[in-house]
Amino acid sequence: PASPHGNVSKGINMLPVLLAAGRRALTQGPAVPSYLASFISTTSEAAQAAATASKKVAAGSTGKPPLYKEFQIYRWNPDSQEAPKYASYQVDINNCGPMMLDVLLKIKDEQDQTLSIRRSCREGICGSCAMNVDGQNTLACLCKVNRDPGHVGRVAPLPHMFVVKDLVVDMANFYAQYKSIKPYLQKKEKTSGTEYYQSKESRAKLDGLYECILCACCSTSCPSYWWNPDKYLGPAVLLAAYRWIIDSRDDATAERLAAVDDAFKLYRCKTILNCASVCPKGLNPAKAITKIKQSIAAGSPV
Amino acid sequence: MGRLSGLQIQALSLYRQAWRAARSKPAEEQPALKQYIRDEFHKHRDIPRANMMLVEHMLRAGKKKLQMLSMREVTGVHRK
Repeated sequence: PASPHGNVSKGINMLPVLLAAGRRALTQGPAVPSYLASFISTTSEAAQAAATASKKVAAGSTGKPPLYKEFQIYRWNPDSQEAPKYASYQVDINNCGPMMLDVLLKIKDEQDQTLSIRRSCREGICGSCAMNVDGQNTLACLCKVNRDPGHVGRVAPLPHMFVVKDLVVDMANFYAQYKSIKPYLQKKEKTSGTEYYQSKESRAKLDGLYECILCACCSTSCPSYWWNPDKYLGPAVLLAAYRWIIDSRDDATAERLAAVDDAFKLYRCKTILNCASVCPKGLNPAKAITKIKQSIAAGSPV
Repeated sequence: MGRLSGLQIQALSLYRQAWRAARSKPAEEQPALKQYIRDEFHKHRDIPRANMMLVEHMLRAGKKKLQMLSMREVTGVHRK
């Protein structure tokens, strides 16, 4: 009979215990503890069945033949004194989830525990796993893996951001810029304690603006933001600024327009339009920026 | 020591700023804070001068730590 050993997948399951018991049954005869007796029969057919089950787990739970694809992943460790490099990993994509995040977690799980990534929701709503996959900024959890085994997947951190480690980047500047546009409701009079009403048409103006998850894919795809990350606000932050400018419940519209009306904060935008093509939520920051420019020219929100 | 390079000047300036931030804290916490600042800098004293990328990374991390230390609410640091 085939050896029940194999690359049994990690996880809390009873299979290793059952296999060990099955092996004992083969070599030593029945030595099953009484509390397991109802689960394990100690005949050799049962042991063989357990062995084939383990082989199936070793091959992969999907039962498909292994399909190996190479991935080159940007690695840099600040504690080592080496230069950054692309490390190559072979991953069996037939026994892995369909998204890039699944591949990265599989690598971290099985091959290299030191790989550092940010991730949280695995469904494209938190924005943590934003990175550059095959030259495009996306969320790793929404990016389907290219199934062509000849293609080499290339994963890098968001471009022109300072790297903390491997694929984790320093978002502090991005968050500080978001804070600077005062992304909260500002009212002139004291609050009455009741809700602030808004017509359906006014609420419809916020569609396509409130869904932003601040993943920074758009800002880090903008060449203008690459060259002036400290002074140009970037598409994500300008989208948020516009969201508050056209919110009918907000009273500080004139101040918001004046705050953003600056040669560097707003007018570094040269309508390159990388932001709109790269947004993983399908939003259009470029359109919002154009609307801000039109609002400033008109004197009131457009 | 010869002319200091730009990065060395930045590192010294960061050290001085951290020192001044420590002096604005309550007197009983100051020695521990100053020792912490010294240790953080001494940990990485052996980075070669040519490894600019790593030095700049350390300076950025140091500036963030300094920002946190300068907050009014932070009164001291305690280590095991």
